[in-house]
Amino acid sequence: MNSQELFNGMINALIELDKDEVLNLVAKALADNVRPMDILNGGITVGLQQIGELFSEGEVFLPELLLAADIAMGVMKDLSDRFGVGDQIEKRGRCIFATVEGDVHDIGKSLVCMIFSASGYEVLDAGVDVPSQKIIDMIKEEKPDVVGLSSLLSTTMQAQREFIEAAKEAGLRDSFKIMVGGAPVSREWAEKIGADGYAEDASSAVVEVDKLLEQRV
Amino acid sequence: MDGTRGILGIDAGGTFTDLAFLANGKIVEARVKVPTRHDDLAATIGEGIDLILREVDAWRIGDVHLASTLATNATVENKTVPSGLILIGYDEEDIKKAVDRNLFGPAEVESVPGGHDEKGNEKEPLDEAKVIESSDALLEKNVEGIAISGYFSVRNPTHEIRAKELLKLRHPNISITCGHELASELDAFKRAATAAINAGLIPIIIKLLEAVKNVMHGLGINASLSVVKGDGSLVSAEWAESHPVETVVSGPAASAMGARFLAGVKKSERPSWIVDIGGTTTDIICLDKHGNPVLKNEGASIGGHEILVKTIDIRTFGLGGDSRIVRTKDGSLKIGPRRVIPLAVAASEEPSVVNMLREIETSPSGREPVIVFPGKGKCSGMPAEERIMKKLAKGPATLEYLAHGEKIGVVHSIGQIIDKMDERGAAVIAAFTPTDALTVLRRLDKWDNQASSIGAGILASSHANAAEAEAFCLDVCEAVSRNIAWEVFRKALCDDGLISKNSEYDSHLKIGLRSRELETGPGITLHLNGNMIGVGAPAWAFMERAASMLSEKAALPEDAPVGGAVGAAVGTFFMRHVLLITPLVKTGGFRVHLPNGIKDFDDLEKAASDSVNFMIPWLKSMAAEAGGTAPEIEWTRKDEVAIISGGARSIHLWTRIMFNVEDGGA
Ligand code: B12
Repeated sequence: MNSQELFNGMINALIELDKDEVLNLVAKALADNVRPMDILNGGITVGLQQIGELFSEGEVFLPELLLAADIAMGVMKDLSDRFGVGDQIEKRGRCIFATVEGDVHDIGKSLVCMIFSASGYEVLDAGVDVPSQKIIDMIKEEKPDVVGLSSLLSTTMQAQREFIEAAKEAGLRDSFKIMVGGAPVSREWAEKIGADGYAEDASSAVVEVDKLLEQRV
Repeated sequence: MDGTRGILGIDAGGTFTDLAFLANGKIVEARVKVPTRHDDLAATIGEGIDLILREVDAWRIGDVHLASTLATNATVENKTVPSGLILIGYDEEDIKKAVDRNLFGPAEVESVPGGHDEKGNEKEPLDEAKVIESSDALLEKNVEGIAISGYFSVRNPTHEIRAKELLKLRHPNISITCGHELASELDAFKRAATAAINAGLIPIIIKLLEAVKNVMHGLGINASLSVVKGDGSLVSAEWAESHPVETVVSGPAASAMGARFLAGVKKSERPSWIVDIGGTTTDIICLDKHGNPVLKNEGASIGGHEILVKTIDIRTFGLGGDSRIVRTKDGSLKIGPRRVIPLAVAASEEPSVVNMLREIETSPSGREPVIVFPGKGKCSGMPAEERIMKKLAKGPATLEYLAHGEKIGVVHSIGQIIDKMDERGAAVIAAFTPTDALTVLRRLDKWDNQASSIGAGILASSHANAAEAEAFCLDVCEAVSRNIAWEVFRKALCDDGLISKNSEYDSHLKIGLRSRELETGPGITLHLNGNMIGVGAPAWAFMERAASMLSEKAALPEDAPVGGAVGAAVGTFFMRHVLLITPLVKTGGFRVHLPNGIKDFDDLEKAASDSVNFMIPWLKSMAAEAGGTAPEIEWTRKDEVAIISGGARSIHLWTRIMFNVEDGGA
């Protein structure tokens, strides 16, 4: 099987909610030297997207969505060890990532965390459903270079705008860079709410943050 | 006596106080300039009026408009009176840090539970008993005014308003300032600092305005007194007495408006760009098509104090008639930002300068026409510097002479050592400047051109003849004009939001400006589409060319030296207010952030129309308080949306209703 066939298998197995088959195919892919990042991007993420579409069409229901998410999280955990680098001596910067208040979508944000720590950043994962005030308190404590906010629901995107307002009011806005992301989020949105950066996926997020931090010096 | 009644404009600036009397269709009938006495502004103004009255009968002065540096100076020099600051709903740790960083200046700080969040929801109820208690504590410390600042008060001011009500009952004779009355931007700490400074300025401005009224009375002038704000608008003396912080940087605003008026820009569909070229720096100010200054919301930094009021947006850069010109290693010319004494001026005061320049000209290592004069500043203690100062004590000298006998390290860095001494005032540098270029070309004949010519020759090339030196001076003039054109154009692009302030497009732009003259490319022509108006002593020499580089003509108004006073005289009342409506996601409704609190609606259209209905009478009464006699209100609405979900949908960010209040009576 070539890697695309393996990915298609994973996508199907995820939609079928066949956890064993997903893990089996992931192991095969790893044995074939497929990069963990490609497994996540080409297989797992696409599978989740398709389930999302089926969900919005009413073909799939919430308990099934949850099951699929569980499988995906499991795969991510297994793969996270294989990203290496993690213990570079000098960190490229310190990041806080959080999914905003009212939003429990964990997978995208966790993937972003993984890739950033694999790319040599120090990462603090604030979790999901995090109120602005909690992030503000964390910023005062941790003094990060970057704060990344994830929203998967169009209704919780407003929390990204509100967080930026809260950071301005606290007089902290200029002390770090703000990245926003999540499936519905767009660059236009990011610019209009006054975020510093936006990225469609985890790898381009690293590129964008590298660029932002370079500008700062 | 004939004549009609008119307006007396006064601009009490840092160095001079200008006065101008305008009547009969706003013709400047009298103008006066007197040195400003900082210890007694009212007396200075009295002196000026006295001189005006030699040309104009007192009865003809119907209105007096005053722009002054009082608020700016008192803030810069930390001369505000002690005020108290009540913070509502601020984090205690944050307050401590802010006080440690001296963010609130000399204000005494008290903290009270309450405040709101970013949505405008109450974070915690206002502790009213604590408000009273805090104010009593502050008064015991002898504060002369109290400022109140609530967390997110610009999203919901009810706690500030309630606290003010309570304080008015408790201490009816003390002035009370609320943060949301002065600032509309987010940043709880800057708003608090702004409110505290305002409270500390109130007694000072009252004293000045009362003294000016007395002076006017004493001279038989029966006129109303108005004050120019930092956004260029004119308000009643009463309003200024409760909002003095809004008068910071009113001087430059008045000057810009005066320049536009004097340049004869009538009703125009185009903005105006005022370029004020001085000895050391050049200021650029943009006036919109109505003639009102373009403002910035981020506030201003005044002597290290961050003040969050709307002020005129000035871009200042280090280029002027006395800017030092050096040749960089790659052979190009660098003009400014340091100010020096032009060679022509130095030679007129010290004839030996010419001979020293000749020495540099013939010296094999002579590259820079620089003469060093002794300064009044102190020596850094560095041994080489001590020796240099000893040599200078005998009189001005060349760099070569100062380096003579020094170790090789000092010889190589003599230029940098002298620059550092110049910064500290331990030495004063005379060097080639745009003023010298004009002198060589005989466009300026205030001084003998010998020193300037030798200087030009040295910079032009090692053995330049007179023609080459002149060609070099033409290059200098061209470069000065190009720098000005470039700064104007760049600011225009920034203001349009097309590039950011520290944009990397700079070099492309610079090439764009030269594209036609270089004749290497398609010959791009840049067009500013705005009136260009030059003021300041050397403006005549550089503005015409700078304007032509942007396909415009430059106006160089007469009477520009009293432009500030003229601008004050022609100033009118106006007011801007922006109302914010935010989506409420949980209920699908909308929240209007009104000046007296929040109001929720199910429907955006209803939210917008109801708030306009609320705002118009509110703005009218506000305008009446501020001195607008017949306010006319226009408004525009902007719904901000963004495309999301890969183009599948759009999302509503907020709606802004922008109110523009103008004085129909003026
Ligand atoms: C899995 C999932 C769930 C799981 C989440 C489990 C978990 N532990 O995370 C569960 C079942 C809990 C769930 C619940 C709901 N969900 Co759901 N869910 C999904 C699904 C299928 C996949 C999301 C996912 O993990 N994708 C994979 C990851 C890797 O991709 P990603 O999150 O987009 O992240 C990438 C980028 O966006 C980016 N990124 C993400 N965050 C950040 C942050 C920064 C700073 C940067 C730079 C980049 C970045 O990088 C990531 C990696 O490349 C999507 C479908 C979809 N197309 O997205 C629906 C979807 C997001 N859910 C949806 C809905 C409606 C819901 C519910 C409201 C359903 C309900 N009726 O209860 C609830 C809401 C719960 C809540 N309050 O948050 C809708 C949202 C519609 C909308 N636009 O508003 C979607 C789009 C499905 C659909 N088509 O209808 N969901």
